[in-house]
Amino acid sequence: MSTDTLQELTRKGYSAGFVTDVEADTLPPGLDEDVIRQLSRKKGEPSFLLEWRLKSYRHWLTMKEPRWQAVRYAPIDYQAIRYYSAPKQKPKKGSLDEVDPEILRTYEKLGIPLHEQKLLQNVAVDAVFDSVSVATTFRDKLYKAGVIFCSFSEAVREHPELVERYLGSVVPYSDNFFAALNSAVFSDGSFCYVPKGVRCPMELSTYFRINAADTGQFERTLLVADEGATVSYLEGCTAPMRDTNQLHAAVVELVALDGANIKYSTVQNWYPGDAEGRGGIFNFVTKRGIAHRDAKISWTQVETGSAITWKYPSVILKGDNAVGEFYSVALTNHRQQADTGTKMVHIGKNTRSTIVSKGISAGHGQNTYRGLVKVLKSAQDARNYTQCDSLLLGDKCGAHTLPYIEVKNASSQVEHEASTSKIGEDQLFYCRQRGISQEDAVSMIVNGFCRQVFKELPMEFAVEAQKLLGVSLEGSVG
Amino acid sequence: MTSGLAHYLDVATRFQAERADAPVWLKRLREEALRQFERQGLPTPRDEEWKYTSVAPVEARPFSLPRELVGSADVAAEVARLSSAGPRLVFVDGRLDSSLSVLGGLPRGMTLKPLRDALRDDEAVLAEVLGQRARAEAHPFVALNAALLEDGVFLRLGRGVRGEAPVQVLFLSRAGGEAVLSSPRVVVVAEEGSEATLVETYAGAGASFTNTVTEVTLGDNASLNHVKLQVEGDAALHLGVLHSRLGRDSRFASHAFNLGAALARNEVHAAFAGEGGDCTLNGLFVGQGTQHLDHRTDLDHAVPRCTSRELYKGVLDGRAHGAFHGRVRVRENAQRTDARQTSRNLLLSETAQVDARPQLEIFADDVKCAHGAAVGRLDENALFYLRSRGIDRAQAEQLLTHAFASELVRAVPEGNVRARVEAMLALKLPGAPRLEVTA
Repeated sequence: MSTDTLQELTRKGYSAGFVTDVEADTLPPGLDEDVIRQLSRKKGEPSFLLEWRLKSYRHWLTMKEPRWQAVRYAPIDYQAIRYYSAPKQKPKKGSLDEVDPEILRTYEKLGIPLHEQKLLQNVAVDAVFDSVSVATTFRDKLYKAGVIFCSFSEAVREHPELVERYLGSVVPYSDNFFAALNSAVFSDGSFCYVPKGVRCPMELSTYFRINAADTGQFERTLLVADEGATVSYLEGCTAPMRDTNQLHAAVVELVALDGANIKYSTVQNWYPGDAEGRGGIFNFVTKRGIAHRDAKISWTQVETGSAITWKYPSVILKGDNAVGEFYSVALTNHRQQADTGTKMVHIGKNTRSTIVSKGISAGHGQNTYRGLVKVLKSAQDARNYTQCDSLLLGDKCGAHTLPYIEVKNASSQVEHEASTSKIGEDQLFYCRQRGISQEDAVSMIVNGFCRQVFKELPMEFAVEAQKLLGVSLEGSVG
Repeated sequence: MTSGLAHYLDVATRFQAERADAPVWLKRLREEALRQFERQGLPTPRDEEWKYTSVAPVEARPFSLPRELVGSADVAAEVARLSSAGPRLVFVDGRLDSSLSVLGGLPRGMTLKPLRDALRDDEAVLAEVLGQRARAEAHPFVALNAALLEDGVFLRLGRGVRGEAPVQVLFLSRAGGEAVLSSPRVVVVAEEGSEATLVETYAGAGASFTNTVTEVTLGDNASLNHVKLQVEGDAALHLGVLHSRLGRDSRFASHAFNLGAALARNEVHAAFAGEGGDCTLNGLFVGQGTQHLDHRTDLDHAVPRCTSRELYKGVLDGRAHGAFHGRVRVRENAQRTDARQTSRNLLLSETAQVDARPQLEIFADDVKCAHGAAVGRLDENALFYLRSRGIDRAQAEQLLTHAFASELVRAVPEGNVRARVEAMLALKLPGAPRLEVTA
């Protein structure tokens, strides 16, 4: 591709990178037990939660930051981070009129209308602005169906028994360094409970937005699908452009009880930093689900943002006949790094898992798939199929595939396939000679490469993901 | 009595003290290696490189260094069974047995001698390669081997030399007596355009600990077929590391058969140093009882236009534990690399287990790289087909298992060697010879 087209393309950048000017209620930077107590007091939390936070914090102090990952970053100063930042507003009463109009405009700019009457698609949104949830739409309609969908803080106040029962049951506070930190300081997030046998009448969605500077975003999502329940959940993320790195260490826990079905989709578009690798979000997230008997958990993720993406959405296939799925597209451009994949732990009989991972590297991007498929002795007739493909666009990027396969049961069948390639000259030539421009041809081929994953996304998201991929790749193909 | 790391440090320190009159370069090499061993210590499963293998058995017994050899007529039959016509060097309990070795009739331009002699006579050649391929600072057991460097084999192929018959190196351990730690080093230097086949066989009934290192240097357009047959006894410990460096347009094929020992780990590393190289890494392991068989391969595509093919297969029965960790690295600028890596594993019992880690690390874009790994049991449809033809289940299982394994035996290039591998495999997978008769 000619340099002119390249320059033309690089001009277009990250469109969600603006800052919203809202007054914020923040805690000073730094972390100690007092900060945690203050934070807990601000949120009016019951004592069990404060105790849990302190236990997590004390455990975190004994842990070392992990170093095994294939990503490099400057050390994080945990005392320089603000652990709480909330837009100043009146207490939430469920009416959108009380939400700061600046915030509403922010979400509209991002294409997420919170006004229910304007909503065309059938999606309930919980909007998280910096550390706290600012609005949840369609609550009444969901409530009639028996579905609880609210911010985590509300859940703590209104359904403490559910929170106490399931919080930390999938990702214990001692799980890993960042999960322990999150458990100590998480400020908000989404909570969802779908009762027995209920099919959630609409898609649920959380939209995360980091706005304030120097804050860390530590939200926690807890999603419980009771026996036979079905729910589909979407998550989207953006942040302003800043030239310092911001830490985002979230925890997502999914509980699928017997026969339940959870579909969790993520379109992650945190600010990736500029072309030289300045700024951007460190996205260090722990996501895990536990699938009981006949349950199914399906993770779909499209990771185009963040300076560093480091996460492994996992499924513990605990019950017999449980099913786990992981569909992922991870794109790294410029100086972005991604070390992502999944863990499928087969415990129950006849458990099945499918992993489809598509990695795209461009510029100086480094993209690593790291995955574990573990079949325990009890997992009679377990089945796994893994496919990891990498596409390299440019000669300065890297693509790495590091699967771990551990099988302790002879009746199981585990397959892993991976390939790495670049866009074929003949494919491009074919498109060009039919009058398709170079950029369109590349974007077409890349979208084709990701098709298997995109078709798993709910419709609205699939369209967004395709557009996102186009924008993120601009300036890198040639 | 000391144990673990302290024991090995003690053994190596005494070994080096007894050889205070060695040439300065050799003394320095051994001493530096000992420092590197001490620095690294013995690995634990917490080390990512040793995740699936515990070397606790290495620490559990105080292995001692080989003694001078007296009378080895009792192994003559074993030597005959494990070798064929052609040059050979035989080591018994870690020491060279000249009476069983054959060094005559070498083609012009080929040097084959005990390493002990080469350390004395060939400093100029050795200094360039010894410890340069297999580096003590990168691996604790390579360091231990270098700290105890003395016995082994030196094979040099001059320009354009073609070895007709395979060069055979046999390491035998005998039952009874002390638990011996032998640390052989095999050094191969193949100059431009030369060609040969080298067979390393490790066998015997002893409860020995073999810690072997092989270093291969291939000049431009040179070619080496390397066959390693490990059929040590049930109580033996075997750690083997092979490093090879491939010159421009050179060809290296490794055929590793890991069948014996209680605990065996075999490492094969290949690094391309010139364009147009071609590397084949084949491996077969068959584990039964409580055997632990670990395999580590590393292919370094450091330069453009090289091809590698890797196929490792495992058959695991009883409570055996198999592991495969293969890495393919394609460095920046190593364009036009064509690499393929496959790991296939067959579990024959409910209690066998396997861990597979195929890894691709790719820093160049104009490449064709693929890897695959599979774990499973015998295909029920294939079994049904055979049974519908009147073959009973047990025999059908043997037939299919043998078919699975024999792909790698067939890939061995030299007829006599292939027949020997076949015979060794038949001892581990009974039923196969009977089927050959019926076939």
